[in-house]
Amino acid sequence: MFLTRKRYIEASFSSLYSKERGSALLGVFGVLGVTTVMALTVTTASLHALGFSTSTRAGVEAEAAAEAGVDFAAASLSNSVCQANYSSNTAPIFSVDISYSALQTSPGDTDNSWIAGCPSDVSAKRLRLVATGWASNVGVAKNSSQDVRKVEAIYPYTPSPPSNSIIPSGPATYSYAQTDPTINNMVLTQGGSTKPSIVYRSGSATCTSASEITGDVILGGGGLTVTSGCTINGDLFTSGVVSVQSGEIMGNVNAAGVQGGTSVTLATPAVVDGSVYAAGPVSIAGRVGGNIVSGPVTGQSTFSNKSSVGGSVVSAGTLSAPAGVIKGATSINQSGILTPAIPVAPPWVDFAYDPAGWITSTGSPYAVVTMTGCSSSNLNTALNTAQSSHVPIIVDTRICGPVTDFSHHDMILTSDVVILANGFNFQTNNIQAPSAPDKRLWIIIPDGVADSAPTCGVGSSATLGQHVEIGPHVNTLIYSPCAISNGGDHLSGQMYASSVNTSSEFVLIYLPIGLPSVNLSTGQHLAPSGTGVLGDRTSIRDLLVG
Amino acid sequence: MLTDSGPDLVGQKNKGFTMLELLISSALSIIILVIAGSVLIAGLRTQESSQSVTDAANTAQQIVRSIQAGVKNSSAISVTTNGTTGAQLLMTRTISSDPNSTAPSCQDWYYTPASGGLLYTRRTTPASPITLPNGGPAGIWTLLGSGVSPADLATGKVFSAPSGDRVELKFSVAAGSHPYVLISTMNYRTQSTTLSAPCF
Repeated sequence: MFLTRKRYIEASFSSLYSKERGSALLGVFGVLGVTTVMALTVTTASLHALGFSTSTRAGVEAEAAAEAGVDFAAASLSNSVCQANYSSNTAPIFSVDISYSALQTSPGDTDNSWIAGCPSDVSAKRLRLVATGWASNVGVAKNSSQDVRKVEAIYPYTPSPPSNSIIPSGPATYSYAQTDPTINNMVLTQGGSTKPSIVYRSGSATCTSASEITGDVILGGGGLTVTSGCTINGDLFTSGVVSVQSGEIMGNVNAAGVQGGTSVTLATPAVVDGSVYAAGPVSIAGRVGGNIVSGPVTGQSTFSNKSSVGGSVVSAGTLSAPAGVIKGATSINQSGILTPAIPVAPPWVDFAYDPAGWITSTGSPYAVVTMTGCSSSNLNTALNTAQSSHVPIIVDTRICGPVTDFSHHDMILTSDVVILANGFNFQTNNIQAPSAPDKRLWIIIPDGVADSAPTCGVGSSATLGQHVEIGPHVNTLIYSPCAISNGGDHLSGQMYASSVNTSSEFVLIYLPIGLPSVNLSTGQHLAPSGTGVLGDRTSIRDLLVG
Repeated sequence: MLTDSGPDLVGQKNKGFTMLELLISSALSIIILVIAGSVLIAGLRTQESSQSVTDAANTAQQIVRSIQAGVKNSSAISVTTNGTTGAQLLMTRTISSDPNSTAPSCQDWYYTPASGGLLYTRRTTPASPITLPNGGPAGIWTLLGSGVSPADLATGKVFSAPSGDRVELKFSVAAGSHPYVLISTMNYRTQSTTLSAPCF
């Protein structure tokens, strides 16, 4: 019986296994189907979200790359020759195309004035940079719309002039290292629109004998003594001390030096119409129209009973017992006073002779006359050729040795003239032009040693003796790495030398002339053609890609 | 009486299930259904969660992209707020992104707390002023997203333009029953000139 029962159960299960399998399989298929749909839905949503997020990331990267391209191109344009395209193949990946316009501003919503490429002449007024940036990590799942961005930036642009241009630049008198401080009986006036100045890179000056200086005096490495009624109609800047005995300074006095406990000394009847800014204590017995600020060096400033101050007195130190007149307030022991800032006296420009650098405004080279001998008749012939030339001309007299003697040679110029010499001696000369327009005369002792310091040849010298009249209608630049001994009478133009002393009555009417390829005001050679100066960006915007 | 008549007798004549068989199979089925149901419910919840969060994230990014693109090229930015309803209008005067034109347009973004928080945008070219809609978007407005609410509860503002040079965005986008997607970002305009006419 038990055996029979067991066999019955075995038979029953055997029947179930062999014939009733469909319902379980159906359930499995159902569950599988539902989970598949859910998985697909979740995967699709996730992929979509991933695509969107990576697309956003790509947009940020591409935008940053394009803006980096703009900055890179702008920086490159500021310090090197323009290229029509700037690009980078590594992150940030960008390509920047340059175009320019001769219009100062956009004519309206549509600006068709852009010309592809770098400016080809000095007419360019604006520069446009169109930067395309690519994302380093692109959008996935076909979300590529943000992989590339374009940015447009517009800058005002000032092209550099051709490198052989002659820019009127430089002060009325420039001395690299003033050896003789004398400025005696010198009258400096303004002949054009540019205010004159006297600049000594180093060395001190003594202004005497009723000299009248129109413009600023900048002594980058020295101090100034004013006596005998010298008048400076401008501001005074010195790195040393200032002592005014009997003259007048109509602008401000800025003295950055302190010596013997004093920075600025004004004796009676010295006058400073402006203010006095001194690095240390002052000693005042004259009249100051403005304020007095002394510091940060401390010490006692003194005011005699003849002193007069139109403004207030601020000092890092103390003041002597009250004397004289101080119309404003007085403050002592003040902290935070800064040493007066002195403008930078530009470095020396080494100017070697290169005939290719002398080009007229129409692009023609200057004519050249090179002397082959140095007799008096040779020099006469050369100078006659120069004065009768109707085109700008160079007269090379360097065959005459260390010094070419131009004494008693008068000239009436009909064109611009360049005189080259290893050294020169002018005595009793009258050089003029018959009428306007004014002619330019360069008297040049070339400095072929590129060491940013004047190099005067052995035995060479530079002398402007008595009775030297240059002008009217002739404006002159004297370039001399040798110290100039100046006893001349009259000069219209400027002097650029290792040192200039003025010993007798001399009138200098300042008109900046300049030299080819250099800026004498900054002491820099001109940038090569194809460069320019970018102004502040006036516009930046995103552009459509496509 | 059962007799030992062999397997043929069981397989061919007694085809019904016994109570025991039914009980066992029912129990197994219930277990399987419970397990499968749990898996399905978990899957459905995951699906719903994934869908909600990704939708919210996409909406938030879409809004930021739209405002970023408009503000970047704008020459002026301003925000007005309706103190009663909490609705806000971010107004810009923006220049074209067409390489051949710098024609201006007015582009605005309108946020309303109504209907759970909606954010629209609208652009007028040629430029003409767009005003804050009263009670809801009027004219042609494009819906950028729903479920938007201010993230800075202290100010209750989605947009602010404190200096006129930038727009601060602080908002969240609802993601169903899940934590919202938070956006806090700042967009600067890059045009150097400030010119708002005729947009505002």
